[in-house]
Amino acid sequence: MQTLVIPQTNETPEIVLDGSEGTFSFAGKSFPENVNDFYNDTLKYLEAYVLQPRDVTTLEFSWLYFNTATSKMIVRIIMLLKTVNKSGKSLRIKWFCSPDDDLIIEKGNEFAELLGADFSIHYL
Amino acid sequence: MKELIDKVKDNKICLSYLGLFNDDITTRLIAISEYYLENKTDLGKLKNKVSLLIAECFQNIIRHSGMKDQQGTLTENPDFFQLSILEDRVVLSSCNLIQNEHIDALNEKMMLVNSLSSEELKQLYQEVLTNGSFSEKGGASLGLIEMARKSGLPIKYAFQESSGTQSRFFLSLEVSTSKERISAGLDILYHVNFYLDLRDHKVIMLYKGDLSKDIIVSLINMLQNNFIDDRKPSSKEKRFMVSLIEVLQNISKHGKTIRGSKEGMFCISMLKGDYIIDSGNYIEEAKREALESTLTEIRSMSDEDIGRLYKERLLDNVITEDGNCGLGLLEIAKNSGNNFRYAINQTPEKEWFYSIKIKI
Repeated sequence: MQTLVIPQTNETPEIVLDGSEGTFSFAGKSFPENVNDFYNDTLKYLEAYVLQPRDVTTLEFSWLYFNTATSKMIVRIIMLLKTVNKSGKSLRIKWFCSPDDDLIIEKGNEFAELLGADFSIHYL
Repeated sequence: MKELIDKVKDNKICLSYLGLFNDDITTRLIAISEYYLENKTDLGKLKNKVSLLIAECFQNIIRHSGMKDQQGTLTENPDFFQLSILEDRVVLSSCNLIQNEHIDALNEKMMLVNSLSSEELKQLYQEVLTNGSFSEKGGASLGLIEMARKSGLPIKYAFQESSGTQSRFFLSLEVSTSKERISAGLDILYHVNFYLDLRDHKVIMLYKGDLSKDIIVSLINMLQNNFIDDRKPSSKEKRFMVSLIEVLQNISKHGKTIRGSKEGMFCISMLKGDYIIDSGNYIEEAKREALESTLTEIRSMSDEDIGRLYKERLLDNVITEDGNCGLGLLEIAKNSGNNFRYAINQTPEKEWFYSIKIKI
């Protein structure tokens, strides 16, 4: 799969989708006016990826902050990539944040608790 | 917020901003002004003039802002800029500190440019431009002459001493569709007093006017510039930004459009280390009951219940076509420790007005 890079803007994150390596990263801020429009290409890419996933899929998040609609989109992305588990492949989620950033740590803990994936918080 | 908003109630748009000034904020403000003048008023032909004047005002403020950091007076005397769009004209006001020793020279320059006709201003402009230095007539910088030329109306100004060595310099420019060189606007003392009111209320930004999508994006970016960019924001600053984004995006999506405009207002202030977001907008009558019952329910919930409901909603996978997800008020409740107040009242015009005040 060809790598898809969506550059960062003032309202949206940098997204790097590397299907050939099975690594997907999101970094920065996310509060687009309409999350459906902004994340549409990303979801389509990941839907194609999960049909033939790598043995290990790595999902990395380094958020500055994001709006609530993005929270639901993160859930959607994680749920979609979790389907690789059905074919015996694994998904690892890495959540990067500063140790004193209680907002982003709290968000990470919520996703970890709710989604029950291989989810680890990494302090920078 | 109400007493401040009442003072600008005749403005179609009023944006007051106190804080850090840089080129990116200039760009955002020009974007707001151009979008509004072009799309929502009959003043579209003033667009370029106003943009140029905003840029000149900002250059003036940015040029002087360095000395404040050294003297630690930023919070007592924040730099100030205000854009007011009225029915027939645009008013730009600013305030920045200057050294007292520069007052006499600046006063002379101001009196000179205000005394000249447009033809004389043009001549002076060309003279300064070609000579590359100040004119014999007393010397006025290009920026000042340009402000007077583009405005076409006398520049209002005032000095107010803030310490033994520094004074606040207030400037107010008007651009009107009228050809007459008579200022119709408010006295400079009005701007001085409004600035002092905002400063005393610890206001960072006050906005009244259209809150449609394009304007909101520019406003959020202005605030990000003030709080977030170029340094690592604290968790509290992030909670504030996230809550503000939820409030503004909520207005943009659910606010009632009246006469082609999503009329609304908000005020951001900082009191004793806490951020206060105060916002208000019109809502459709059909949405009133549902909104009121959601607000009452959340307000009566414990932190644990809010957390539980938040997680439930997070997993419901509902995102509407326009990107709405039903989590905004819960996010605000979480970020504020459920410390918010709200009201939904009917106005004399029989419209429903929703206001919320959040402390973070």
